[in-house]
Amino acid sequence: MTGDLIFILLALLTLVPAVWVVMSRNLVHAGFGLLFTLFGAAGLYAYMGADFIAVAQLMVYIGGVLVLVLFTVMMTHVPRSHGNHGYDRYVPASVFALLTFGVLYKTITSVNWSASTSPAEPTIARIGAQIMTDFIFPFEYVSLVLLAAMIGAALLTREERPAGPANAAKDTEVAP
Amino acid sequence: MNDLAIPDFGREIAALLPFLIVAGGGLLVMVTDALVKTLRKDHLSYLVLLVLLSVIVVQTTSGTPEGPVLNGLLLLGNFSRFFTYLFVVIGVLTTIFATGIFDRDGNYRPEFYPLLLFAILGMMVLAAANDLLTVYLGLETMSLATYVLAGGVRGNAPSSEAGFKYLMLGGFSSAFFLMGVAFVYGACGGTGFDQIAAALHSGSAPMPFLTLGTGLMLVGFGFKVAMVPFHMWTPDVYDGAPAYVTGFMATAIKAAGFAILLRFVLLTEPMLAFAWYPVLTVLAVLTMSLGNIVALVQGNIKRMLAWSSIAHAGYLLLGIVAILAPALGGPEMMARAKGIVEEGGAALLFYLVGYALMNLAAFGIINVMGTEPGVDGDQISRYAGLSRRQPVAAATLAVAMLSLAGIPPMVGFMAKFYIFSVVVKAGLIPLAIIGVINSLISVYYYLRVIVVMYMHDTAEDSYQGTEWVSVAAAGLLAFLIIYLGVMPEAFHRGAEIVFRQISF
Repeated sequence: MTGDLIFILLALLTLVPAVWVVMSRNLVHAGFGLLFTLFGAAGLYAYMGADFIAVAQLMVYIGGVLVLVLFTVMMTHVPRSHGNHGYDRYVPASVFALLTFGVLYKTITSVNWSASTSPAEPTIARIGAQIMTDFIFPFEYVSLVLLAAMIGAALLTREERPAGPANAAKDTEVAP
Repeated sequence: MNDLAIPDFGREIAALLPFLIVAGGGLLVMVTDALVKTLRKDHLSYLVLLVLLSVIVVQTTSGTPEGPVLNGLLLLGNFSRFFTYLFVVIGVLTTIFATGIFDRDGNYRPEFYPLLLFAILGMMVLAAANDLLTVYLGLETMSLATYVLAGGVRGNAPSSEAGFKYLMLGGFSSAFFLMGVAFVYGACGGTGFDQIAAALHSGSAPMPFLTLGTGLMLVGFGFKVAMVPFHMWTPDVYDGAPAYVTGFMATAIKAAGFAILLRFVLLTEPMLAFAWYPVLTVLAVLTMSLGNIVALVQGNIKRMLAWSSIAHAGYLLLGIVAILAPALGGPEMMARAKGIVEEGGAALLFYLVGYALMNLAAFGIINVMGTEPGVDGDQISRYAGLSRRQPVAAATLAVAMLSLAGIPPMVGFMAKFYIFSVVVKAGLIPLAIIGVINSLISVYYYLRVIVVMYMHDTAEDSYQGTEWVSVAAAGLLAFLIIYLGVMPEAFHRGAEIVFRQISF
């Protein structure tokens, strides 16, 4: 019974702000609505025992994607939209939403759920062990990918070096 | 969960030595640039060349272990070794071209060198990948490094546009690719190529998800190799990026993309040949035709070569189509299938090498030509009368153009000959005819460059400088183009042996 109550609360936490996200005219409000929705979804994952997905949801979506969205909205001064919201977009949007819902419904009803009634085991420890054994190469290699990305970001965004004496010596000397 | 037993450590390290050298070399170059204050501009390039040459030496002398390493994440052997050689040689030439130009165009960036090495590392991983995870990692390393290489010229609007465009569209294509990986993983129950092959052979993989997944992955691959309709970025990026980077992208990225596309098509062929075959046939025809027709009207040599590189992706796709054809034919076809698959694979590898040679030779000369600040150096009209002022450069560019057009005795002719003859052997005569017609169309725009260089009067703002190292390197490539065009047999047989390893 308590479990059901928790589920209902989490579902409400996911759904109500989701409606707010769609209806809100203010992008910042929509962004904060999304925060609650994503948090609720993370809670649902945790409720089902999918601990890794719950943590990943928190870190990737709330910690990364959402912060990026809010920063972008706040820093680019998107004007608050007034008046007609473009109702002609509602038709394709609702068709797409209905189709997605149909596919999800079909998938959900076609799965044999009896196979997975046992409580889910915690997965983070197993994922950690896998990363340090079977998948050690991708784990280590990603650091090189990130390094390349960091060098690139630094190269593209840093200020031009002032022509100080130290740099000038390095820059004017040319190869034979 | 697997047990924690450590595999044969020495074997794994020995197998990974070329990868470790490139990765460590990249870090070394980066740290050297940061710590050594008395560095002259060309010093880093010597270090890069040393790293790349040591990869060649290590790979040639130590008999690198064959077979899967790192729990099957990588598959080493002739195939990966072949591509490592190719990428390293392209890297050496790119370093030479870039270093020769940094003095003159004032765009010296020490970050170029580590990023180049990381890009090469990503390509090596891609060609050796035996798991969708490593495919993605290799793809991303290669792409991230090249986005920056393309857009890294500060204060140069076309370069920034090129980098930005490549980054945005590359990000989209990566997303498509990852979505495809997710579907294939769901359908096959594993990301390893062995697991996927097992799932396909047992027929347990659900078809809709499998086709959807491979289709999405094809978008990702198609973007990397500039295949129509995923080619939109190519002209702008090739034009905006510095010529040495364009040469690198046109040759190395295309080779890496086709290496993994070839492996993936062969992997999924048993179950998906019926889907791959029509899709790739249509794409090959579209890619060839659009690339060649649009290249006809380009006045900028880099844009022209961008469209030509799209067209060449089409010819390469023809090779893959020929490999797939036997799987769909009748019993009479199956008898010859083995031969066609091997010849098709060898033709593809030969084409990639020949294409790398001729494109690098062309971009080497374009790089030298187009570096005066404030001049749009890439207009074909600027090459007028080049033969009288720079006979070596003009002759090199002429050889590269003739080879790209597929005129004997250049390597481009032999490469096309091998591809088209396999296509004919596979019974796809209409496709071969379309290919030959396309090849004829392309002669016009390649020869136009030669006409301008040899028969037009000298242009006012034409190239005056000399960059003999780059020109000599490009000249050496021109020599190789003719050499491989005259005596392709030994190399072609070698390519067949290389391919045999991956044709399961």
